[in-house]
Amino acid sequence: MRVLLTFILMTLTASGAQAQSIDLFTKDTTELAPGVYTFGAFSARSLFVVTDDGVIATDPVSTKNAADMRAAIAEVTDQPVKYVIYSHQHWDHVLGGQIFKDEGATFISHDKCIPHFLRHPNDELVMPDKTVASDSGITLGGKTLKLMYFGPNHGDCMLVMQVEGTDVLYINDLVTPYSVGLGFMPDYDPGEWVRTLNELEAMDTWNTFTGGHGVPEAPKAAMNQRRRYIEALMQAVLGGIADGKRLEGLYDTIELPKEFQEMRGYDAHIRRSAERIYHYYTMGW
Amino acid sequence: MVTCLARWSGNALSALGGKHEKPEKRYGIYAFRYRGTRSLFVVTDDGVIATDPVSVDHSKILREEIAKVTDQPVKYVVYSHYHWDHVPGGQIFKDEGVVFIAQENCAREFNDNPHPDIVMPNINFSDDYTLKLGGRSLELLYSGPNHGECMVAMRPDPGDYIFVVDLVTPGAPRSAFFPTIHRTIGSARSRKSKRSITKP
Repeated sequence: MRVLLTFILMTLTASGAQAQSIDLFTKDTTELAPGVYTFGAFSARSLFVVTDDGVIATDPVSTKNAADMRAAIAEVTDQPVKYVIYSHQHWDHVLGGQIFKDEGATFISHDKCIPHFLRHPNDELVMPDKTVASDSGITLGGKTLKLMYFGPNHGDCMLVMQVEGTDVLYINDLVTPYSVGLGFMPDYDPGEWVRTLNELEAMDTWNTFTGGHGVPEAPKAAMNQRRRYIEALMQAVLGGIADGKRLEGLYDTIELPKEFQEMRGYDAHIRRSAERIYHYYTMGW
Repeated sequence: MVTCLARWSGNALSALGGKHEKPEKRYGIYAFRYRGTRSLFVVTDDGVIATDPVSVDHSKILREEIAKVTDQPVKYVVYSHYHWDHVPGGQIFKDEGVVFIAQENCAREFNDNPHPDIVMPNINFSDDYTLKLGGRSLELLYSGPNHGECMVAMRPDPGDYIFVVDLVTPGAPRSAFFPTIHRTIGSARSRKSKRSITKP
């Protein structure tokens, strides 16, 4: 089973395609820039920033994952965790923060996350102590973690993060490198999603990113691939609708370029993704 | 090449085949179905209340069927919720001076997701709303978010049934996934991109 879940991922680099074997079950701590780390396990990936005055952590994910991440932080610093930032509201990223609350961390999210947390209470969720309403930043020990808001895309309270002075972003769920993502596109607005990726791609202040799932670090080309994949799927579905096809007949006409068919999860998810896009165009949802 | 395409596709629903059923009457309430989608209309001595125009084609046939049973004008159109497979096509009613009614959260969705065939509501109510006409009542019951955030069930009075759109389709399991039912609280998403996508 473990072997099956060891994926051979094609890593696109500036110099060309290069095969890389990644075992997504193995917990990893990877330093992306001085003092900027990503901690990942199979289920999800988070960022933490080490400074001389404490640590800024993100997305605890779950009680178990938070304990593992706390241990990983302790491997590289004795500093206490002072802040926990939630990237967005979904339970597969924000639960389990109590271990950080217990050491006095201040929890922060975008303010639009609060209605979600109130509507969908969860015993494992630590409510934010503070919220931000637009682009903001957390400064600690000489480092500033920028919190960037792009409006609705995957939910409506997503924050993209970047430590000032580095060229790496933390982008949760909007891109999982080299993967098509979950087929039914949970809580994604396809149009807003493409818009956000275009806005991110247009920024010249970063070159690589770490996502909410998947490999520790990927180049901007992986975001470009995800955006083009979504657009190609949207065009294929739109074309089928314009030809008078209904959902059932539409599936069989979807044939995306080979580049996209080779993305992880394509065969498993493409039909459900096409269904989601069909409803996007026909239901106004 | 960059081409902007409207998200709304004019042929999306009109291209589908199907027949309409002769309206079925109970308690003076008529149920009308065309291409698998149902609307109600209530005939009173002072005019007609209709629901969900669905599409230009659907509302045209619906209007013809109403004319077969009464000479009364249509006075109100009530939207059950905001989705495009139920609410476009109201212009034929608008042209005869009809007042359109919806739960207030629908207007936000219509503004965020403009559709050329959707007539904006004139009356936007926040909680339950009772529409009275010609001695009949249609109670519009708002139960909060479920399938979108502006769904109303409708109960004619007198009458011992409710009209529930999409939350239940009798005998059918519905979509493999549940559109919008799982969508999180809308809370003024205020789209940045209005309805167009870029063709690669």
